[in-house]
Amino acid sequence: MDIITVTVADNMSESARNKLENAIKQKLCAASSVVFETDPKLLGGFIISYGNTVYDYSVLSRLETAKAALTEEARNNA
Amino acid sequence: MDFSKIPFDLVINILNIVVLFLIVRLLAYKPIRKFLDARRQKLDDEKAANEKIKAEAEEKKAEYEALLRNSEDAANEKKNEILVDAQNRADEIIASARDTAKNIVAEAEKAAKEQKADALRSSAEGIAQVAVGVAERILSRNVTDADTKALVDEFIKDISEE
Repeated sequence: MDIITVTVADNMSESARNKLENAIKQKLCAASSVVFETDPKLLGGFIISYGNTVYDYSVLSRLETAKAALTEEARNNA
Repeated sequence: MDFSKIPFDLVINILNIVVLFLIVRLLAYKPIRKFLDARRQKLDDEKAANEKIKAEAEEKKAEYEALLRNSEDAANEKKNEILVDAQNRADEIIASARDTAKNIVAEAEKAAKEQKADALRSSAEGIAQVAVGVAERILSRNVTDADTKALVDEFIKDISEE
């Protein structure tokens, strides 16, 4: 059985976890086992990993993307 | 005719003078004339020799003067060439110095612009990092369950469209 690892922030509610687990089993693989891990550094959201595939919906990645975009914009406008 | 009245002494004197004249003319005139001619010839030769020497000296003098003039002309020409070369060299040095100064100024301006751009870039990047840091602190306290569920919905929507 495939194992799907879901890393979540420590502030994720149980209902949100259930909603996410159901979506994973419906959309990705129903026969997989979903394992939740907690990482406070994510700030919010989650990261789904299985095999070589990663879905990153964490607030941390959004912030990193925003930071990169802002820095690039600052460099271009300087 | 009465010859007794003729002054005999006078006749004798006249005859003496005539005989003397003839003797002197016969004996002395030619040698003296020859001597005088020879002397005149010698003087003429010396005069001609002197004139020849004088002419040669004049010719030499003219040659030397011409040579001197040529030397002065050559010296003046050389002097002018040196002055022109020196002026050209000075112009080249001045032009080169101006180019060098212009390049130094241009490089300094370029470096100043680059430093200004670097400073602005660093400042802007710093501001961006500060903004992201502030957002991170705010989000760490304010991410709600609704926000998380919105991310779940976004995931569901994305995975459905794949």
